[in-house]
Amino acid sequence: MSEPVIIRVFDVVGSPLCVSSADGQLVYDKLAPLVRDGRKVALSFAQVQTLISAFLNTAIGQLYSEFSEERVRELLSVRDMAPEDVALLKRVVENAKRYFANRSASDKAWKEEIDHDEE
Amino acid sequence: MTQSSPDPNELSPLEIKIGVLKDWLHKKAGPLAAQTDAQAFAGWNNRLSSLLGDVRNKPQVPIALVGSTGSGKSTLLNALLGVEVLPVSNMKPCTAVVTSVRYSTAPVYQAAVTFLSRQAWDEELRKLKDTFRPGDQEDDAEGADEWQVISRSTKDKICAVYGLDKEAVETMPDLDSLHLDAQIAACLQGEGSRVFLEATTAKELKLKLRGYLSSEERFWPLIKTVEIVGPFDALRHGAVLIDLPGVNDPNQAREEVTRSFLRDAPFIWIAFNTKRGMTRDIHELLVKQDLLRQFLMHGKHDAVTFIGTHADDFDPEQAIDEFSLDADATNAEIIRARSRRVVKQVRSDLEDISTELARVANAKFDELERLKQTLAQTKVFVVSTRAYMQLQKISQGRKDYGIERIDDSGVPSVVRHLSEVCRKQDRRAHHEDIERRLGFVVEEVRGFFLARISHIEFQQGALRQKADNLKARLAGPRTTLATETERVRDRASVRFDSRREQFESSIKLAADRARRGLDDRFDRWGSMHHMTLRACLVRGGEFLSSTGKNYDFNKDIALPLLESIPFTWDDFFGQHLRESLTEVREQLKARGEVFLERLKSEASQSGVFDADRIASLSSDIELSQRNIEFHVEEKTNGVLKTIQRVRTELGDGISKTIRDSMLPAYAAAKGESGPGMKARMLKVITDHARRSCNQLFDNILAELTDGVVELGLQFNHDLRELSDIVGQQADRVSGNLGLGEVQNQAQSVESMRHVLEELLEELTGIHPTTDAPAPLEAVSDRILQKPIPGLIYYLPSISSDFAGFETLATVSAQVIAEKSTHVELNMARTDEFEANMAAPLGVVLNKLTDALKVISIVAVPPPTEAILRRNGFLGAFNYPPATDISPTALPYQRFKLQDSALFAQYLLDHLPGKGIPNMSSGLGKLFQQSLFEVFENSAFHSGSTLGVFVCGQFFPLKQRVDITIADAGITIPRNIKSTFGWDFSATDALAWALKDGNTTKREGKPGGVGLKLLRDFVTLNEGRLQIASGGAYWELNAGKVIIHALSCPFPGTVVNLEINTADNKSYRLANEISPESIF
Repeated sequence: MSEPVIIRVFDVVGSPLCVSSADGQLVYDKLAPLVRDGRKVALSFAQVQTLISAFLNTAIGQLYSEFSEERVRELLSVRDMAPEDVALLKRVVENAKRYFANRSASDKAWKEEIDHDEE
Repeated sequence: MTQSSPDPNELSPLEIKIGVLKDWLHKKAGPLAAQTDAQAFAGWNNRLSSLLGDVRNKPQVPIALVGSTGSGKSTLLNALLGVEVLPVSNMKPCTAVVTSVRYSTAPVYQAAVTFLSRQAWDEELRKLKDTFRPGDQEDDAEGADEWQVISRSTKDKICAVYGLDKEAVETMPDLDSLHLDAQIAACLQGEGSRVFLEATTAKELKLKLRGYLSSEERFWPLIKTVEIVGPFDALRHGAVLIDLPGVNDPNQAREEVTRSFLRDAPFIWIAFNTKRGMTRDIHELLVKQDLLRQFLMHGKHDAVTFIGTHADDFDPEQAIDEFSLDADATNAEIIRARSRRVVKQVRSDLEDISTELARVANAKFDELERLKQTLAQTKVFVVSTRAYMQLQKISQGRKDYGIERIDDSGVPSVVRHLSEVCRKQDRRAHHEDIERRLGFVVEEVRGFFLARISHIEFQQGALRQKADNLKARLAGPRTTLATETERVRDRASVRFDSRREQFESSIKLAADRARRGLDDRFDRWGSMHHMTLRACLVRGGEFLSSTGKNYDFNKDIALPLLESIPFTWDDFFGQHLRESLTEVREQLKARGEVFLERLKSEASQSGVFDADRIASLSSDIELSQRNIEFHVEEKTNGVLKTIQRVRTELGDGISKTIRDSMLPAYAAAKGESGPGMKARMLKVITDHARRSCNQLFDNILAELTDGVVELGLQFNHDLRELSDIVGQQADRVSGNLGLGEVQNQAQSVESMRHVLEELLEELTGIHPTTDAPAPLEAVSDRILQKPIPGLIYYLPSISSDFAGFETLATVSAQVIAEKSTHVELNMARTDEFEANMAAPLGVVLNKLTDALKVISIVAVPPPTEAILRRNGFLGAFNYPPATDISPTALPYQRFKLQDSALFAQYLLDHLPGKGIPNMSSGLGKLFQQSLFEVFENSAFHSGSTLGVFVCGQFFPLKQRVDITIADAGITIPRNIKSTFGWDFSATDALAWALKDGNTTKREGKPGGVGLKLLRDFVTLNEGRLQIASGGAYWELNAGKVIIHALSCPFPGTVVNLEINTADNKSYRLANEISPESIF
């Protein structure tokens, strides 16, 4: 197994705060081509202090629009992450999987629920 | 709201007059004025705005009436009113309701009976259930008799409400098995449901009221208040008599009403029974019920009047002996002799009581002397209401009370006292007062224009050079005036600061005494009956038994601190502040006069002006002096009011803080039962009190210090305004003399004359009429009043809740729809403004500015100004900024959407110290994260070109911190509609957006986690989350979600996050997620 490419989020964002979608996009733009090439990537969150869901959605969540769950699991890993940030990432990932698996259906289901309520 | 209210308040002639003048200044006079006159115009405009606010503050003088049982309070009230309107028999003394009586011109008698809410009643039942628990056995004989009385009266109440037969019910019924019948249940529906009664005579109304208040009937335990309105002549000057039951009421909702009246009423009348021996009666009220200490705490010792009743009730022979009168002394003579004795006795009782209070408070000698002096001024009356009623033919009966002249009954002097008390507050006098102040403005404006006219003519004259010389000679005195007023101001603030230090060190000493003496006070709790102890616990530590005994654990804990209030506090808040204020006032006035006199003498000697001009100068100076006098008076009264308010709030805060901190212990202790329960209950609460007392007293001291510092800021600010008034008047007079800077020489003299004549003509065309108070139903305040010419919007108090957002959204929608570009936001009635609402207000105002409206904020009342100044909000709207931002505020700031780094810096700068050290680090991190989620949500979705508005407030005592993040962009409902094309209602759309995984993000980006994280976090933390966006309002509080439609859409999205900083739950995860199982 080859050693993964390490992307240091702190270096990409240039700050310990990962609090915007725009910064997430910077990370995604680095990450996506590597995954596309089938390279293993390790995202390091060393020195990152604050992370929010919007950042992770863009940086990682949108991978699932292009790649299968298996592919992501095989190629991507994270390190140097505080346990509660891991929990946040897990939540973002679950949400992204569900979202791409069944996007229009879930939107519709809610609409029906509301229409139903108002009858 | 204007559109939706069917009948907006008609404007009074006075309001129209003010409106006309404002409009004239803005539209007609404005274009004629020069750039340099802008300040004068702004000053007039501001004064007119605050006059408008005053017109609408209807003067009423609440007089709270308290008395011991059997003091004949209701009869006294009837006598004062001159009609029998209050039922006096068959009333339960311990549960009587708060009854207010006021005047209306209409020849009908009306009453509104307000019931408790179902919730308040259930709460009372719950407390009863918690107190009377089956199987309680404890071996303490002390207080057992008392408990028989208490349970009997409780039983009466239950029997009345549930329609049970009193004779058949032996013991306390099982409360869970009882059901309210439909009629009673209907009364308890909603928040304070009301019944309106109307009658053509007072007597008829009395009969109707009896059906609700009599203890023979079923409603009496459920009534919260009764308001009576009628043509009562004695009250026509605006007095509102409020008959208050005992200070503590088993029903908390009712007790709060009583307490608030006692605190807020500017006058308190105490009725006592002379026959029962005033010493005992007064002692009962003032000492046992602790009234005097409350009055002293609130600085109200000069607000109290004593009225002894039953003057006619004596044994003549005994009295003749006692007062050493002639054997053939008439009853009237005996009554007079006895009354003199009563008055003397009351004063000496008061002196004894205050000596006692001073002893326990360790007060200094001069502090006690001062209190005694004030109390010696207390008015004392002795009356025979029955004789008066009979003589006045109010009541029938032929009993001989031995009083033939109405004056001898003593009642007429009380009636005179009543009207004296109100004279200053008379409604008509109030309007005349405003007319007079309006007159000052009109005269100033007129003087200004006449002077401009003659000045323009004069400028072309040959005396120009001489005038310039005069101006140069006056420059020195004007500078002297400025430095002198500044010196006066500085001296006053230095003195304030040194007094403040003394005050702080005295309260520290008192707090130390409170800390040290805890054990003594705990011993007292140990001697209580076990039922009494539990009754206190279920009522948050405070309990008044039906036998009139008063228990208050919270007060006990802080007793030495509270005891010090009448002395240490009075020294600071009363005596010294008042003295320095008077001194400042006199000095400023004197300085102003010196300058004006100099101006006059220089002007007459200069030879520049003819006799006419000098004469008009004299009258201008006179106007100026009246003006200064008036404004200085007004400002001084304002400062005194602020001092009073701060003092009351701080005093009340002490018990409240303790109560909040002790509540968990009371809740835990009340669960104890079985043998030995008393000892266990005591242990729980005393342990808790000992453990938390250090932190508790630190918190109290911090709060007091904060409050006093704030008062200092306010004080300095008011002094500045005070001295500015003097300076302004000086400049105004010299300006009128033609010595000011005038640039618009080319202005047509004719058009000025014309415009001025127009104004004066229009103003004289409006005739004042006296307006009668609105009938009962119309009294409720409207949110926004009808706009006045010149477009003025009144902002009511704004709280951080649905009503607050509803108001802001309405203001926004209405002003946007107006054609006029100039909008004045009048805050004269914004008595309260929750600091964090500055962010949404910022959105609304910036939206308006963006639509090219010119907004001015005027007439901000001091408490609101203090709040909005210390978070820097007013500074952003042309108000002078605060010198320093309060340590509890997160300042109002505006960010661009891409400024998340600056937002991070803002949090770094302002979040530390706001309760964050108390948070577990896990909580602090989640909190920050949540704030970034909200900020990013706005940045990503709103596209707000005006940016994001942020502000917040830390409440150290409540242990809460609020941060509000608001944008002026595309709202959540709008976004959903434009993304999906769905036709949801705004509320449905907001609910959708708050569901996990729902998002409007597109182009392959998932979303919809942020707001949900926030929701989970707030639930866990027991905080509060409020979101207003477009037409919807959503709130999560104490685990409950409410969602409402706003009647006008809010022009953006607001998220208010309130965090419980006392939360010490660990937010660290118990089970870590393994990195392999993430993806």
